[in-house]
Amino acid sequence: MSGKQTYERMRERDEGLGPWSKRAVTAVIEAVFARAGEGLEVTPPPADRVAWVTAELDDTLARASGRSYAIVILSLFVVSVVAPLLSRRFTTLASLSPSERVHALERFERSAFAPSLLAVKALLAVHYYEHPDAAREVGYDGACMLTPGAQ
Amino acid sequence: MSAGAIERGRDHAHVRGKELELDADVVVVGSGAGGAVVAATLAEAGQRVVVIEEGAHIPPETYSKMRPTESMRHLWKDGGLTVAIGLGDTPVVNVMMGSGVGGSSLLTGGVCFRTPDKVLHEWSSVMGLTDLTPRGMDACFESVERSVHVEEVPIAMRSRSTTLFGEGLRRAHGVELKSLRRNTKGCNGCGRCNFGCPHGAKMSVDITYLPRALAAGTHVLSDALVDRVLVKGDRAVGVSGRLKNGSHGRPHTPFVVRARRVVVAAGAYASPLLLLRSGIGRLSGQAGRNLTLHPGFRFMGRFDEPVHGWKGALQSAYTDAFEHEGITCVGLFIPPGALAGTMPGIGPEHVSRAETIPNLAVFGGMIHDDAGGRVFDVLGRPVMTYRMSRKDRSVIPGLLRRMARIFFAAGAREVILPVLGLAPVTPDALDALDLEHVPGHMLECSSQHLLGTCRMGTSGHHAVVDLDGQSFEVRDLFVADGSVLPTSLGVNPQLSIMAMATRIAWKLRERRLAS
Ligand SMILES: Cc1cc2nc3c(=O)[nH]c(=O)nc-3n(C[C@H](O)[C@H](O)[C@H](O)COP(=O)(O)OP(=O)(O)OC[C@H]3O[C@@H](n4cnc5c(N)ncnc54)[C@H](O)[C@@H]3O)c2cc1C
Ligand code: SF4
Repeated sequence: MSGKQTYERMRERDEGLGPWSKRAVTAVIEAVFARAGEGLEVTPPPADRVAWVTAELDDTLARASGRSYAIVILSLFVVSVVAPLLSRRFTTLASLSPSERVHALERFERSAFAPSLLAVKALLAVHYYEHPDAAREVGYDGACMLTPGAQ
Repeated sequence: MSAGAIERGRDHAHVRGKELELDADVVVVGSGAGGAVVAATLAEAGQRVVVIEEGAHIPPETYSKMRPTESMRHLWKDGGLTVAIGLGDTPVVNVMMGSGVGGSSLLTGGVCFRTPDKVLHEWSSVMGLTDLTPRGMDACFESVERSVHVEEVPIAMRSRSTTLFGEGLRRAHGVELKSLRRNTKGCNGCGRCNFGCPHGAKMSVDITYLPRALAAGTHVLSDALVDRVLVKGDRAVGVSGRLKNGSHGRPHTPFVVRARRVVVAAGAYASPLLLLRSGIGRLSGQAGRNLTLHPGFRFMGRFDEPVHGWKGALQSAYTDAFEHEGITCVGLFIPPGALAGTMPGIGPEHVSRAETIPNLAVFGGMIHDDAGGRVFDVLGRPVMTYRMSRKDRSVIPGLLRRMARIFFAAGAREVILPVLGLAPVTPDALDALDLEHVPGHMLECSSQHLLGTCRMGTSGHHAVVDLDGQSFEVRDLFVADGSVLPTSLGVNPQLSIMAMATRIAWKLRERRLAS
């Protein structure tokens, strides 16, 4: 996408995430919320949950102001491009395996670029742990948060 | 528009070349804590009031069914993503505000403090705002407290998270937590206050002042963005703006409200911008300046025992034991995602930390700050910056250590400090930590308390409005929201804002309307 197209999209967008950013978000979700797997491998969260979180984030960003949208997309870009570089991998985060992504992001989180990861991670986490299964897995049962008005 | 109704600007059909025109005695911009109080008071005094609100009208029966992130999308300004850019060694501050009929009042934890006497003395004695003494403001506070049902939170409603912090405070400093007062009626302690109360128990202005204003004939127009205050000669004569009835709710059809008096109550972020865009507030050069935020930090202590901190009132107790250092500590709890999002770690490490959420106690500390922020436009887009004073910045390392020690005194295994990327700290590791040299941009900081950007004062050379809330530059233009408070408070501000708005509205009631 050209710079002008990107700018137009920010001004007149009717969806939050484009194809590139959707791929980048998916890659981060699969790494940040991965559980320990076999050996050195990690197990990303179930695909339907990843899709649910992505769709929710998409809706949030579609309603954010152009500036906030730009900050999130820029942070996502920095995370996707710089995190692999810090691990000497000359590719984007989405092209790495889930375990490689975890290592790249761990290193990134300790670097001076950490604030851009915090922005993305914080935004993803508020959506991710709203999924009832994700909340249950970490022992959270706040009924009124998960099913408002339930208590 | 019909009297005593809320109409949605977004439902207004667009007729090409035709703008919506309304007439009123008073037009109030913004329906939050300040605006709702003014609207109800003036409408009940028989004035024809129109309230214009940029956000949507989402009634309690709808917001009560929203999940937290849905509420953030529909009721929070900018989805909760607004930031103040930290200048110098200042953290980036995530600034939260409400946007909707009811404004930020919909999202409060319900905490109600009167303006501390010390602050009122500074305003009245040092700053020359002679009427703003504790005695002078007493009737205003009483009126608001009655209207929004301010009551003390019973100790029985404290969460385990709060009582653990209280135990630590007692052991480390020999001090007891104090009970907070909140604007609630029949609260069951479900802890969802920041996303709109699902039980109608929080007495936010949408269920207190606004129904009164509607019953007295006020028109509320939601989804309508005011762009300018209209001025004729030296007098405000109305406002103009655009209804948000364009594609995807974007501002589209123009509207104008002609009024004999204009009250701006768009909050400390938007009010100065509205004045500046209307060419007002330049005399003193103070509009948009003097922003205070009460920068806040949250601390989490991990215990061996389950804490289930979400069970109990969201905010029930506080301590002012460190007020001499400019710090107030208030109990809170936040959804699991917001807790987990700031925990360090990726993948399995993150997940194992998130699994300790049931064992976490959380408490917040906020700084009674000096005015270091500013709101202004760059190329027509709002920008907010914040530079912490040297004094405020210097208290942060001490605050971090103090909160950690309190949690350790209560038996916490480790503490998660608001420092990006810092692993949880154990008691042994705390003293060795170099917290004095953590750069500002690595601190995680947030604010819900914007104040001061159209501050009240005795002269147009250093303030934007006078003691009655009237602009020094334009007659019949008043400001009645958080932006007029002359300094920060050191305590949660909604009650102070509503009391100040009450005072301004009472003064307006006595003034003859322009013919
Ligand atoms: C999450 C959260 C929790 C909080 N908890 C507490 C608490 O427990 N206790 C406490 O004391 N305080 C709390 N606060 C702070 C308190 O809610 C605010 O200080 C107070 O509501 C501010 O009142 P206001 O009238 O200045 O602005 P607001 O209440 O924010 O109202 C301003 C309104 O103006 C509208 N507006 C803005 N620009 C325009 C425009 N151009 N045209 C038309 N309309 C416009 C906005 O959409 C908004 O609805 C909290 C705030 C938040 C966000
Ligand atoms: S704790 Fe629950 S019931 Fe009480 S005011 Fe908050 S949201 Fe309403």
